[in-house]
Amino acid sequence: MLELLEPIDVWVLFTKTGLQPSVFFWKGRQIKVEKVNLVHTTHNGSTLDYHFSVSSRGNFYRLGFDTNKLKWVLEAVEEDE
Amino acid sequence: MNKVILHIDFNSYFATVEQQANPKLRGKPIGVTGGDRMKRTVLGAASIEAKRFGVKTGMTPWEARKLCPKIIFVTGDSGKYLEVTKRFINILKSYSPYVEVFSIDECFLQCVGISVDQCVSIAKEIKLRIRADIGEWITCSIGISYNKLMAKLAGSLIKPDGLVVIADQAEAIRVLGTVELDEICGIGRQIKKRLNNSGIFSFKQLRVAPLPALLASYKSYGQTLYNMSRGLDYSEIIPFYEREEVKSIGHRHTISRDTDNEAEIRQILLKLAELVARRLRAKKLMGKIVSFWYRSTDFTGDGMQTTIALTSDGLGIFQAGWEIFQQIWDGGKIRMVGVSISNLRPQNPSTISLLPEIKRNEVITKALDKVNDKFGEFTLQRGILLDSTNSDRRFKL
Repeated sequence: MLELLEPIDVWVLFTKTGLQPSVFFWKGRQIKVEKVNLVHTTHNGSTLDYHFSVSSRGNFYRLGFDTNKLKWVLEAVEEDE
Repeated sequence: MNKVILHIDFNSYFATVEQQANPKLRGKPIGVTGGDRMKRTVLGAASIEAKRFGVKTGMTPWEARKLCPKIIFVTGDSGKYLEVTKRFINILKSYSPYVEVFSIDECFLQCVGISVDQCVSIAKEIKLRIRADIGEWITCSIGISYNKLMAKLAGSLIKPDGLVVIADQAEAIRVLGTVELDEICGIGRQIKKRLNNSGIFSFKQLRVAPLPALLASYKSYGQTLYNMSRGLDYSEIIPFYEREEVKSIGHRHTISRDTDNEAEIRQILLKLAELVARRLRAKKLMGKIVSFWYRSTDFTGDGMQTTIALTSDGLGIFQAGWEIFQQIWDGGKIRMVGVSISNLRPQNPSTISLLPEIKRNEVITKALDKVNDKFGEFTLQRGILLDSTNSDRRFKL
């Protein structure tokens, strides 16, 4: 698994259950989130970060959302070779 | 009014949560480790698939790989596990206020005034809700019985994803006849060995042992053993909102390699003392008894404690502890160090110091805490802790 902290653009949906990433852009590709497997939060000082573990076409990605700066980063990637 | 206890235990918790997050890990043998300190870490959990190869929690990665060459090591992420536990507790709270959090991955739930059959329906519903609300890969084993001891035993009988009922004492006696002594919560390796040495190898034999003999050998624990063998347990559920008072606060750290470098050890101990002090202040507590201890390369070690004036200051804890540490440390290589403080008292009301230097320190500490609360631990720290040439000096706990 590749661990990184790369700023990315994300399209999100605001659903009844909350915010959910729908599509994100990485390395010139548009990646559609097919399933959110797990959401968890962490605190860095007073900043609350959301982490979305998601799947797309059998690949795994973890997206981080900084609620203070309202910015997204790609935190982890595991893709088929 | 009759009460029924449910014991809910997640299966291979940390490993299953990792497999829930990353479907590429599902169906594969994985071990959750401490991460980048692979040489020193042990497995915090093994997946169900790894357990089939004999891999167990507490093994070193080397031992695990020997048993299961294809094992995948995943760095543990406490944030993920705490989040899942929180959601799990919220599900349980919707059934009864009597929820006891036994550990990060197991809880007791007490239902009053309903039948065992109704509890079985609740258990099935809990399993469905865990799958729906937390994740489809997460499974738990549920034991249902008339007390905590038997509910926990019932929960351990079928894994993963079990649901076992021990409805009454007659059934408990039957089940106890089929399990080993150490399969019940409260009988560990040592007690089992002592029982074996007395010629007791089963619960049937334990039931025959007279109570006075058990009391003579095991003191008050003899009564517990006597009760266990009969499926009796009078302990009550301790609901999450009646948690016991904190008695001590401590931190320990395994160094990435054995060291006898005094400056390095001092630095790690100071950092641990600062972490202990931060937690004291967050809980609005002060402590009086400072303990410092270490473990050597050969896993032997020593520890000592000292009494100081009530404090919640990291440097004060370190200074008192370092003095005693120098008395116990023989200068040999160290693998692990630890700091703790006990005899805790609430911060307020405390005697207000008239000494200006103490007042000044309190003001500085409050300011440091404010900054670190906002921007994260050790954003502001003592200069001596800034040296980051060694990874251990930057450790996070």
